[in-house]
Amino acid sequence: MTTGSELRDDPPPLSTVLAAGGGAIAIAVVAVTGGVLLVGTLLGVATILLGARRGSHRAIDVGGGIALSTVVLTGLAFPPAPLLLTAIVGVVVAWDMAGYAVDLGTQVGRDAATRSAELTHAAGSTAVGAVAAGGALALSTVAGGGQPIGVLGLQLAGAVALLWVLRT
Amino acid sequence: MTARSDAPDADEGGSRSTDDRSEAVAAFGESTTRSIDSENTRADEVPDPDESGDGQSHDRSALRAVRETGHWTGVSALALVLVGVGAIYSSRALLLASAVGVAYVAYASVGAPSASSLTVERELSDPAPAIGDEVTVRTTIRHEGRGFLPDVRVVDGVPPELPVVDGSPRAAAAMRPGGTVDLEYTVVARRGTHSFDPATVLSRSPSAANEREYAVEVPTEIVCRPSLRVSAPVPLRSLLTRYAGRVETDVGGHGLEFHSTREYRRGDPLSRIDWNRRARTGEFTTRQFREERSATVVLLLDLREEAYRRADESGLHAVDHGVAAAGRVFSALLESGDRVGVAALSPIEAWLAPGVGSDHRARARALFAEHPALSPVPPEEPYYAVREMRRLRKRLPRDAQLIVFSPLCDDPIVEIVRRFESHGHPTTVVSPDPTGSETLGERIGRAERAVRISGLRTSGVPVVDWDPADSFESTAAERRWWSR
Repeated sequence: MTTGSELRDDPPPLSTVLAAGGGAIAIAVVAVTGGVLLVGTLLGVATILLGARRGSHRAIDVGGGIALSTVVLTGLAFPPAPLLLTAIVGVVVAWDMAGYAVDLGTQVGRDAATRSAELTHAAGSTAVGAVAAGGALALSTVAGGGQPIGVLGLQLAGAVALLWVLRT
Repeated sequence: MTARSDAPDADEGGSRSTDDRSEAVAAFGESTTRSIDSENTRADEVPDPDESGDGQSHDRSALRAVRETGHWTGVSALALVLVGVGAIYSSRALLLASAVGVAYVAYASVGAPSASSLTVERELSDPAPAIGDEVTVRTTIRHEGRGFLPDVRVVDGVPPELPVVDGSPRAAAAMRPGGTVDLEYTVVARRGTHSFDPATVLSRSPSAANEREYAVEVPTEIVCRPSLRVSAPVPLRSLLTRYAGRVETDVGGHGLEFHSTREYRRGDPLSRIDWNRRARTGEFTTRQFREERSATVVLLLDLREEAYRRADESGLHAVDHGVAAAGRVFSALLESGDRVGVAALSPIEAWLAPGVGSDHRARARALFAEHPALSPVPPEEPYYAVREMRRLRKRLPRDAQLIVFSPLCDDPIVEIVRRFESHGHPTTVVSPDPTGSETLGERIGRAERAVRISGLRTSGVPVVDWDPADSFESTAAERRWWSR
C-alpha cells in the first residue's frame, strides 16, 4: 500500500477511549463486589489498553483473559447476576474495541476519518451485550426456578455448538 | 452522472482482472498543453456523453476476497467456559452470563454486507501539474444501494512515487444509503506519468468478524511534464556548424562584431573594404567580422540506476532535477536557433536527433513526459557503458556538443564524459547536487562528488554544480561554473 512516510498506523484514539470505558465499567463492578480481585481486573484492563496503544493483539487477548477471569471469580464469590453480566459486557467491549482499534490502525491509520465506523462498532457490541444480558435476566426472573440449572447449562452449550457449526 | 458498478458479487472470493485503462491513456496523447486554471479539468475521461460532473467515476469494481478477520476468535470458547464453570458451581449468574457469550457468538457469525453498490469518484485539482506542485486529490465514495453498511474502509490507490504530504488517502465510516465518504489529500507531483492503482474498499460486518474486499478501478493519471519554459540563455562552448546563429566564433567573415583586417583579395565585397585606410595610406584592406553560427547540442541525460539519488526520502531525485533542467535548456537553445537533440545514458534507448522547429519541440515535450527511459523509477537492467557509448557516438553529429545532466555520483560517469570530450564533442556537465551532510556517509559522498567535479574542471570540462534548492536559472547565470 502506498502511503507517505508521515502517515501513521497507530490505532485511532476514539476506539481506545471506548475500550477504556468498557474496562472502567468492569472495574467499577469488581470494585463494588470483589475486594482483592480488583487488582487483577485493573491489571487486565491496563494490559488491554497497553495492547491497544502498542498495536499488539496478543497483549489485548492476554489482558482480556485476565480481566474476564477475575470478573468470573468475583461472580462465583458474590453472585448478584445483573452486576456480573454488566461487568462481563464491559470486559468484552473493552477487548473488542481494543482489537478493533488495532485493526483500524493497521488498515487506515490514525490520520484517517474513522469516527462514525468506531462509534457504530462500539454501539453494536454494547447493544448486543446489553440486549443479551437484559433478555437473559428477564427470562430468568419470569421463568426462573422451573428448570434445573444443569438443563439450562446444557441448552446453552447446545446453542453455542449449533452456532459454531452454522458459522463454519 | 455516475457510472454504476456491475461488480460480480460472487461468494467464491475469486478475483477478476480489470486491466482496461488503454482508453484513458489514449485520451492523453492529445492534451499536450497544461491548463493552469484547470480546477475542473479532468486527467482523462471515460467516454460518456451524459457525464457532466467533475472527476471520474469508476465503471468497474471487483470483489477480491471474502474472509474472516479473526476478530471474535475465542468468543465461542468464552461462552463454553462460562457454561461449564456455571454448571460445575451451579451458579445461576454464570449461566446467565454465558447467554451473553452465546449472543456474541451469534453476532460474530453475521456476514459482511455486499458493498458492490459503492461508487468511487476521483477528482484532481490539476491533472497536469508542474514538477513539485501540490495536487489535491478528492476521492468520493458514494453508497448508492440499499441497506446500512456499518463499517466501510477505503484506501485510495495513490501512485507509488507520489508522496502524500497532507490529509489521508484512507478512511473508515459507517454508511447509510446515499451517504458519502470524502477523502481529501495532497500529493507532491513528480516527473512522469503516474497512474492511480485501484482503490481498495473493505466492507466489514457489524461485529467486524467478516469482511469483503473490493478493488474499484477509477482510471486516473497525473502527468507531470517538465516545463519547457524558456530560461536564461545557456552558455555554450564554441564549436561551429554551417548555420548562422548566436555562438560567436573566432573565425573572421560576415557578422556584426569587428574581428580583424587583412589584405584585399579580388572578389571581396565593396562594403567590407576599409575605405578610411584606403584614403589614409592608399592600400586596399578588407575588414573581417566575427562570424556568428549556431551550435548543435545534444542533451545527454544520465538515467543509469546510479543517478537516481535523492537527498531525503520525500524530495525529488537527481534524475528529476536533471530532466527538469534539461527541459529548460532545451527550450532556451531552441529559442536561440540552435539545433538541440536529446539522448540518454540508459539501458532503454532514448534518442531525439538534433533539430529545430515547433514539431521538434512537441516531440521533445512528449519524450520528456512519457518516454519509458525517463521513468520516475530506476531501471532494473544494468547499463553497459562501452557498448551503449559506441552506439551513441555513431549517432552524434560530428559537430555536436554535449550537455550532460548527471548528479556525478559514481566514477564511470566521469570516464564517460572524458571519453566524449576526447572524441571531439565539447562537453558541459550540469550536475544537480543530491548529496546531504547529515551522516558521515553523506559527507563522504559529498566529498567524492566534489573531487569528481574538480577533476572534470581540470580536464577542461565546465561543470555546473547546481544545488536544486536554488533555481537552475540563477545558478546558470552566475557563470561560476566555467571556472576551473
